[in-house]
Amino acid sequence: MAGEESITCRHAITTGSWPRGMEETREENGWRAASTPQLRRSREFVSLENPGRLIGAAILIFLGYFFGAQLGFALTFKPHPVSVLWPPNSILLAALLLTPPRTWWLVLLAAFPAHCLVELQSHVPAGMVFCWFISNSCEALLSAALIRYFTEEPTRLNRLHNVAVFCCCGAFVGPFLSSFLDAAFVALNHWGGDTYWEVWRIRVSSNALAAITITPLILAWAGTANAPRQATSRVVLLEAGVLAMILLALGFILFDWLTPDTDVALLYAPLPLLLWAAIRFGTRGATAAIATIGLFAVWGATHGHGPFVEHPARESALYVQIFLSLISFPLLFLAALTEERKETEDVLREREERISLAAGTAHLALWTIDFKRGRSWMNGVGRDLFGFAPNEQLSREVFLARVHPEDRERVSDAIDRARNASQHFEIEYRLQRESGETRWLISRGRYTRNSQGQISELLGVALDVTRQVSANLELRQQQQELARLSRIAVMGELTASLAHELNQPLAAIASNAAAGKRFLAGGASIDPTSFREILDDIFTDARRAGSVIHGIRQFIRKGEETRCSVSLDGVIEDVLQLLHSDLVNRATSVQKQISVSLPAVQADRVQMQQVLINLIVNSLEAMQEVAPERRRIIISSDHSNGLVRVAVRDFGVGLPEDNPENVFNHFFSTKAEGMGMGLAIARSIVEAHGGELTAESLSDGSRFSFRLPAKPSVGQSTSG
Amino acid sequence: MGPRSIGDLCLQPYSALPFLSGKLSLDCRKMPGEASTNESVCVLDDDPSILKAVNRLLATEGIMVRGFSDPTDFLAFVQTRSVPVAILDVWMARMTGLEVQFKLTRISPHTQIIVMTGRGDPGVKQTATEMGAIAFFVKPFDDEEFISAVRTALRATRAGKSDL
Repeated sequence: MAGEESITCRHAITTGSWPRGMEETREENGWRAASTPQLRRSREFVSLENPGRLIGAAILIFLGYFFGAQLGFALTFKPHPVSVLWPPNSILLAALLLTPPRTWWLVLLAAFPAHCLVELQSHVPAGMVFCWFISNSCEALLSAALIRYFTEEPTRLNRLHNVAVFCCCGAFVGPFLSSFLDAAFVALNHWGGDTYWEVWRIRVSSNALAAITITPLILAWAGTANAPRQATSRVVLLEAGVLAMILLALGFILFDWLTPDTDVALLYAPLPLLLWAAIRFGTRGATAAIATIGLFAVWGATHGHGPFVEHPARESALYVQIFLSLISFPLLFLAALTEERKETEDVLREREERISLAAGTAHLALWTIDFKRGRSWMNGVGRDLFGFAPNEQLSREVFLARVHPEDRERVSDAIDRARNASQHFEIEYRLQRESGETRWLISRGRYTRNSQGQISELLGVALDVTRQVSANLELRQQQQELARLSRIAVMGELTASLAHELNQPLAAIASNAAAGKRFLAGGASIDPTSFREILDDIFTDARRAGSVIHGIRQFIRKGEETRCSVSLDGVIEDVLQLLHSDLVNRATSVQKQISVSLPAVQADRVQMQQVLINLIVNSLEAMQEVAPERRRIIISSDHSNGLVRVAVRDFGVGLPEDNPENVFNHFFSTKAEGMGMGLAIARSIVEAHGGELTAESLSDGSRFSFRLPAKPSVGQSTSG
Repeated sequence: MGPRSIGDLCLQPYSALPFLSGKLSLDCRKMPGEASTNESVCVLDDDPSILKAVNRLLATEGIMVRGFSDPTDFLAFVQTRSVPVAILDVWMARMTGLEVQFKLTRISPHTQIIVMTGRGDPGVKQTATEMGAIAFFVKPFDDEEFISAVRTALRATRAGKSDL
């Protein structure tokens, strides 16, 4: 029992079948529309979980079998008991295919009383009744088992594979094999006057015909697998009604009204209607149409009407069977093909809808251009963004026309490269909208080629990144402004030192000028060489004062950063000159360990000065409490692996033990008056230059190092 | 309230600045009109251009100048020679002018001291004055006032000598 339960569970998982109640809730919530056809197909077993349903199913099977048999009797040639169509076995097969194997015993149990009732009515001996039930059950079980084995459960006739398996196993192998048993039972019971092979042949053909007409009808209409996916519109219902009316009328005219000498060609008259049913209404339409025509044909033939009555009963029966089988087989295949196509279309549509929904939610523009068919598609978000009319044909030209003129050539080149190499492309560019507004976009795309190597399709996606781009721009401007303010703040702290730096040359100029004036005023003959020396010195000092002012101006100027080739050695010299007074004032010695032939870096000179100043000022502050003789800064530079490194090492208080990285946080400061911005700004500048700034704690101080990518030297390929 | 110890004068004690280590060797002894070493004025500033300019300025008045760029050299000189007037810069790399002044007053109490600085700092002026500086100049200074101060100092020296 436990084993059976576990099998049931596994089955439920693998087929994805849902308990009934749950399934209904899902459908109520609109899940059904979103569920995949795969899921929908696999929820098809008629659930027999609760006793009420079990009894209902049993009664249904009983009635089906009983009336099927009655129908079989009704469709028998009189006076010869030759049944053209024997439905009970097909009904049994349909019931087995609709229910899980573990309830098959119930199906057989329900059919048995119906079988007995029917057969006993016909005064068949009890032994024969029982034997026939065995052979009938054997046929249904054999067919059902084979069909189940070769198709994914549960079997429905909505795909070609399933129809093929059904036709082979249900309409051929099952009746073919079981009829040997059936004929043997008849012979054993000495029932009727036919020979073994006559019984076998009649039974094969009538059961096969029933299997090909009755079973598909039940399978198609019992489950929801072949039901239309959308609610049927009135037009479709009307169409179905018209088709049914014409079919009934034609069936009546053809098989009841016409006389046997009618032209055989008229037998093809239902064909257009059957094709209509199969193509427009799938398996349900095809099976219903086949059943209708079949019923008329058999009814007419067995009641002396229509084109099949001219021959002896058995031959007539055979002709009807052949006629019906020949139209049923292809029609079932055609219906399955229609269903498969519909399903594929549904899957594609669902997928497209899902992608469109996702793309819409993410504000992604999606497009495809099918070069072979000359068709293009773009979702609504994309058409809104690019300003394409809903049905406007897409092409590279109309796309490029919307790209900002400055970016057009670059975008076109990128597309060319991707096209030639069949590769992905990714381009960031500006879009110029009709309103004149500029948007920043990132487009990714891919060209696909067919088996002949020709470009077949372009798939693309574009994302509007304007907000991010402008946010980045704003952030950069803010960072630049912050850095500038921080430079001004540093200058403010250094005012006294800077004044000293300026006053020195100014004092020398003033004294020299005064000396010259006095020489002249004294009237003494003056040596021109000495006088020239005075003027030279004045000039030199004026230049010196000018360079101090220039340095300050450069340092605090407002303006765009300009990156160029910068020698960090030069930056170190600049900064030491600028900080000279302060270093003197703080009695701090500086030692330089500069690597020869340090490569240049691509950077903004002022920002590099700022980094170094902030690091040196930080070192000076770290050594405030240190004894004067130990106040020392070592500035070193070197390069390796394409990186230029500059380090500032001090002998101060070191880094906070718990979290050394804290020093890089804004507003982290150990000083009461400090803003704690210096190191954070230094790090943001270094990182903006593609480098890194790190701090390490040493036993007697700390070392801050920044690394920047070295600029490739002249003669070296810039791309390499 | 003069400074009690040299530590009070170490506003920022000296330390080596190797990148400024190019020592100035300015020979001022060959200046024209030099009368005697006793008459000479010593100037201490680690900035060579200042040293040169002050030297020129005083030379126009016929005042002999001996320039020093290193405080240690200057203090060593003072140990052996009589220095009537000393002009000291405050902010130097190796030692502040106030330290030099403090030591100088111990070595040569009669030397008249003039202090000059590149940055105006009231505290420095006060300390220098308390230690006996007769004049205090913030660079750039007025040449007339400067020369006049030097002359006053020289006169004071002579007066001191004649008093002796």
